[in-house]
Amino acid sequence: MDWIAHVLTPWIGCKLLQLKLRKLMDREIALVMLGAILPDIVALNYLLQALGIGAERFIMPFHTPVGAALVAAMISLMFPKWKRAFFLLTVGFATHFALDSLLLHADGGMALLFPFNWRWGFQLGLIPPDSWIPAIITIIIAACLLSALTKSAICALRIPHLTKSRAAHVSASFCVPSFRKTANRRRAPSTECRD
Amino acid sequence: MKVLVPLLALAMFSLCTYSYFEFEHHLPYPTLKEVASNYQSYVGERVFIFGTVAGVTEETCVISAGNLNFTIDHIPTRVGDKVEVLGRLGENYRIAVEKVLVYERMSYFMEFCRSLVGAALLAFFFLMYWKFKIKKFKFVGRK
Repeated sequence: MDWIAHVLTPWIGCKLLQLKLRKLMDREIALVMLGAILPDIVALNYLLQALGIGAERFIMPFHTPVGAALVAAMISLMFPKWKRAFFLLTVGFATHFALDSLLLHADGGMALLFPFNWRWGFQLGLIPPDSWIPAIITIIIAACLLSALTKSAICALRIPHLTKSRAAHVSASFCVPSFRKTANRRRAPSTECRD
Repeated sequence: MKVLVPLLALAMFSLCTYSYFEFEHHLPYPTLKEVASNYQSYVGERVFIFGTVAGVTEETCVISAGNLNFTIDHIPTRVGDKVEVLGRLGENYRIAVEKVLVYERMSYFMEFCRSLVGAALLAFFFLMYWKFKIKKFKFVGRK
């Protein structure tokens, strides 16, 4: 599955979660998105193959939960709150395996239980790997969500009775940081957005 | 904390090394290397190949995988397309197809292109909130 679907799916999920969980920050969503492509380090194999190096057997563990967890652990050490970072990266790569399990192959698939079990499979066989459908669906949902969040962020800035912290939260749920700076400014009441 | 990095790296390297040496023993089907080295012993067995369509006639398709060329019954495909074939190996590198999946050449290429867009999207979003401090070798949040 392409990286548009892999990157946008956790973004959509986290943005929806952010409406309930105020603590979830955009910088944390960025970590979930990073985690979502970690297992695809195996894509390096295409590059190595082009150079005449066959590394498929060596590089395969990166596309397994245990391998991805080890990589996530290493990467999380490069962040201030490493335990939190590890958790977020783990959520990210879990979405990756969930999406990849939808793929269709003639046979085989992922070895999710590696190194404890070499069973290849775990595919639901719903979508061909080169399909545009996941990318199109995620782009449409992400665009709708972004549009709704933008609208709600603008409305939040205009509603006078909204507290400072609430306004900051609503605008923070929109991805552009510059909105945060303007969020704390009280604006004159507008009748347009009250509905 | 500094002890953790080499430990994790060692664990990952061990996992990769284990995979490197054990990979072929756990595949459900013979590898191309095994088929090439002792073809007759695998005749009648199920094989799984991933290759490129090297030729198409009205009755057959030739699939190139590694240094081997396999022949399968005609399927709607074009030269250059990628195919996954699961089937039973017959004489003269012929495979009786049980299941086949075709990736059109352009479609396969477009998947990479879409992934590049996804990578750019991720890089943009990630770097909007994090920056890398080389001296500390750590990411710090942008204010």
